[in-house]
Amino acid sequence: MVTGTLVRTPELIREAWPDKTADVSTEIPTSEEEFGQQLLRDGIEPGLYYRAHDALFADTTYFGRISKSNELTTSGSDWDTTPSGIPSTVYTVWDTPKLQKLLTDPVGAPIELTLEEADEIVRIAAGRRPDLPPGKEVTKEIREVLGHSLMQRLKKVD
Amino acid sequence: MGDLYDTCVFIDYWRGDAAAVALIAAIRGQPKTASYSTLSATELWQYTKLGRQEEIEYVALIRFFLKEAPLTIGAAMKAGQWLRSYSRSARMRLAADALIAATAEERGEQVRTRNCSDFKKFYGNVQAY
Repeated sequence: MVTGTLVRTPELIREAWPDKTADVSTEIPTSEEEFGQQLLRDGIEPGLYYRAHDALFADTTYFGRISKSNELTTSGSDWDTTPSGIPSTVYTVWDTPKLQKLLTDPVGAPIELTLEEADEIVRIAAGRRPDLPPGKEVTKEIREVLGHSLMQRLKKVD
Repeated sequence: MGDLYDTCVFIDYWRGDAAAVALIAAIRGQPKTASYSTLSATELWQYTKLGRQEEIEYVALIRFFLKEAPLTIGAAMKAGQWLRSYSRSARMRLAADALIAATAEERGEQVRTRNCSDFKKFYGNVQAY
């Protein structure tokens, strides 16, 4: 677990949650738990990822997640050592260094995920591509192509 | 009895179809209580609109939340028997449906699809979503 003092600035709150400018707490939390409680108190949904700035390590940001049990969690493997100042956006699992790296790999490259990552990926995938035609149409088209290929292969014995 | 999700469920989930979203929400709550045919993986992976992010999304879904239903020799033979009475063009169009239907029948599962009419040519336990 990451230790240190978490900074939560008015700028962060305004940019991440524009509708929550007046009534949210801006005091500096003294622990991850308190930080998580602040976010939850301000109506931030469990399951959201965020990126926080650690005041003890001024050039370091890290990613964390508010779990379904309303706890803020982070892990050492999520450290991002790139200097980036105070973060200003709510991030998703796709913004974690691990997923960013996976995205740069080609289709077919190995994919290792934790259950929590997988659950979050699946959850936010719903409706991500409204531009696609209905599944029934896509499937029929795919099956025409595959069926044609299969029957061509069997042509000589048919 | 469990469900076997047809390929269109995956695409409709991606599109945001409410019924498909509900099916996936169910297995997120109770992982591995429904299955998918490995043939669906072939169909999805050959789809030209599948990029790396979509691949990761599908892997997350099928690896953690769905049971794999591989094509067995028994199901392959059954599908072949079903198809032999159809014309060449119909066999070409229905081959995948027959293979997935035979897989579901062998496993005693209900097919969940938006393409009921083609599946019901072979297998009665089909439910639209």
